Amino acid sequence: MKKMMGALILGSSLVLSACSSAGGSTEAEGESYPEQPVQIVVPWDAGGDTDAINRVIAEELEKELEQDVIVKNISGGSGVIGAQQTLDAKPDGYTLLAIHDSMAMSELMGQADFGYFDFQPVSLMTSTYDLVATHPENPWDNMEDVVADAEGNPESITYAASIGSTSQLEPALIQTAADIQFNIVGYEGTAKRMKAIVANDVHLGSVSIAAGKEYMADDRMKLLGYTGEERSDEFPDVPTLKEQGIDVTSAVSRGIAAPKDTPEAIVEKLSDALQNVAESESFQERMEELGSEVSYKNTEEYVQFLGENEVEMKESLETSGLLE
Amino acid sequence: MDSILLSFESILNIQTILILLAGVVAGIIVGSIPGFTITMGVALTLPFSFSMDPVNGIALMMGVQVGGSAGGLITSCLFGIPGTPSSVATTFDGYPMVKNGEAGKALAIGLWSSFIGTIISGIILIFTAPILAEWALEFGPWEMFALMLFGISAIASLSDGSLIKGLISGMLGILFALVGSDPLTAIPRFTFGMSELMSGFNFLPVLIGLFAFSQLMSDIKRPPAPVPFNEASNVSYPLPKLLKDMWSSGTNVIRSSFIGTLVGILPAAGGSIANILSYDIAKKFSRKSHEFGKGTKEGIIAAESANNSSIGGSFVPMLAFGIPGDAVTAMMLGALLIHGIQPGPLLMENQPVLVYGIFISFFLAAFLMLIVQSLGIKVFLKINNIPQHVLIPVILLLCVLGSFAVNNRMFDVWVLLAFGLIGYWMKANLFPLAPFILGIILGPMIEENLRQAISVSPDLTTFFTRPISAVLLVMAAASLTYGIISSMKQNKPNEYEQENKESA
Repeated sequence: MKKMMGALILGSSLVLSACSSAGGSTEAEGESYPEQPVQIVVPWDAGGDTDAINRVIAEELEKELEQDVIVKNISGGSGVIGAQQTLDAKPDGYTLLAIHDSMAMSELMGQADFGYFDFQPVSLMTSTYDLVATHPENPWDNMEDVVADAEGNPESITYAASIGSTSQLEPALIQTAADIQFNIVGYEGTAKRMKAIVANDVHLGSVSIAAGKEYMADDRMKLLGYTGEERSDEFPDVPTLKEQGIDVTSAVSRGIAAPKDTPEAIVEKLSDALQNVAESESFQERMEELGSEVSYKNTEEYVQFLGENEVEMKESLETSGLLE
Repeated sequence: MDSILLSFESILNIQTILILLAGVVAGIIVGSIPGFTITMGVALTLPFSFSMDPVNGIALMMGVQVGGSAGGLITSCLFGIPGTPSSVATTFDGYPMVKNGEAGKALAIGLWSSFIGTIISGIILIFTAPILAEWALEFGPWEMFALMLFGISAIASLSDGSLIKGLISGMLGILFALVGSDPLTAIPRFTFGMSELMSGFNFLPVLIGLFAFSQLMSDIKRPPAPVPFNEASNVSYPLPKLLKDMWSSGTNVIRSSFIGTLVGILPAAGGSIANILSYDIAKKFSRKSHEFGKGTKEGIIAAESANNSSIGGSFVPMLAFGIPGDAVTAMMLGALLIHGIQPGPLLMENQPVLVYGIFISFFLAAFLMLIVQSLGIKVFLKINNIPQHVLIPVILLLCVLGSFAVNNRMFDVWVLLAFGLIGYWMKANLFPLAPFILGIILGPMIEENLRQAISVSPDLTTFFTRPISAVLLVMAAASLTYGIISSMKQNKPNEYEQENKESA
């Protein structure tokens, strides 16, 4: 009987303490956070670029927070499904979302009824630029050749892109800037796009730096232009689009967001921890291997960045005729 | 040569073998539970692989894949419920054979077919990966469209008698597959504003609903007659007899393994298509095609050797080009990426030890699978003795759990239940389920490739001027004609109808 009473008291005190910690003040939460494993929802399939980058972030963040950080893949609907679930999650800092430009794209294109600011942005982590690639058998050696050819033969050059995702923006932006018309063909996902370029089923497509290096070395691709502001250290010989008279830069900017109304103290703590991650040597090394640049921004800067990003994307979608 | 020896050294140590074994065991368990797919199993092992050597990480995932593909046959045979999407066709003959009281034989033949299929595809992989990979590049949207058309022509011969009902069922499958974002323009179709439907119906809850849930509902309404119990039925099948059986079906085993490997090589095709396609081809080649669907060993052999050999095939584009052929190889490439190894055409050159290590562990996984499963069959056969009213709720629970786990959301559970009702209604009205599944798998791929082909060049004659595409189109036409003629000849009611008439 005594034992039972003891168990009862212990049990009820556990319940009570659980309740009190759940309803505690925000400041206390910030100090003690995180008390349990933190989950980063990656709304894309395991094995992709976004997944790889966020797994490295999770691994490094674990050291900073001294708490388990788990990556959970909820894929589908161009990232909308995982985002929707995070949107509905408790704003307690234990469910975070990996986001990139596709969120604004989905909102603008009407695939999702929420955007960046239905979440609490935390920090920008990385920027990834692309290369425009073609099969070595094709006659063009740079984007100037492509533009010259396309001017004479509108819609004769095919460009593979995942329609409705950020990869569609690149050909769209190039078309507008160079005043030409591609024949943009939908290929869902990086793998199918790569295969289509390697097999010369389509003329042009965008590839990542890391992949481009391998395929170029094996003479399976020619690289015609780089979407960054300046040339990449990895490919000093590949000129930027800007150098070739096409006023376009385009990056995938990946960051971390939390559900709206997450306590400020927690957001701040996360943002600081992510800054330490971004500044750590091991993180920078691994991002270089993955072909991404570390481009940390704290919460305030990130919010501003996302606001500008949304406006820019809207403009480019409008000028390229994807959005009326 | 040095690198091969080094690879042996990197694989043949206790740690790697134990990891591989753990993978195989996990795979068999995941594969044998309806509602849990191999892809899910591999995804669960992915985080563990990050803290391991690349070779060990890949070995773990490979073990799950090989084990899972063989594990799928257990539920397929014992309950007529595909354990994984790539064992749909295994149910066609596996389940009837078990109902005939030959559970031990069905499982043993399935197991050995899986084993031989894995080994054959491994041999093909080692000797011809670079050549096959170049060949796979020939498959543009035109060829993929023609191949998928050839695949869907199997509807005619899988229709179980009523061709019209088969076609209706196939078209329903294609219709349901239309829901979700348009694959090329990402415009939502038939989503009625529900964000859950943006990516369409997930294949797994649909499959489990159609096969498992509908089956369980029918069983509740009309409990199946207990399997005739005799001493021989539920014990393991003697090995000498089994080897003789396999030997006499040698052509079937080899043909099915080649089909599986080739289908596996093609991007996005994979085990589920290999499984059904190979079954259909075996049926067409067989002189006793009327025995298919009634528990012939040929059906199990064709289905099971094909789905396992497709694994070897899926490694070809991954190792030769760094391009994943399916979701599982995509995760393997992801695991390499995390270790800073960039998958690409130079993988074989830059990482010979790793690549040969992958080859060796593939063979090793096949042997481990054979050993573990041979022991496991004895346990699984005992399941067959558990009364249905105990078993059904457990299976149903596992189905619901598996559907939930696809994307961690209740929506997929409702999909499972809805398709269970659809499946129940279809069965009750004698609509065959296989064409529905074929439609839902192949419909989107036919659409995607046709539209890609037409956007690249609007000229339809391209389909006939590209040689591979032309050959495949002719094969599709021949297969369709053959299927229609033989289904018209086959006027006698099949076993399923008889069974239903008896109960009516």
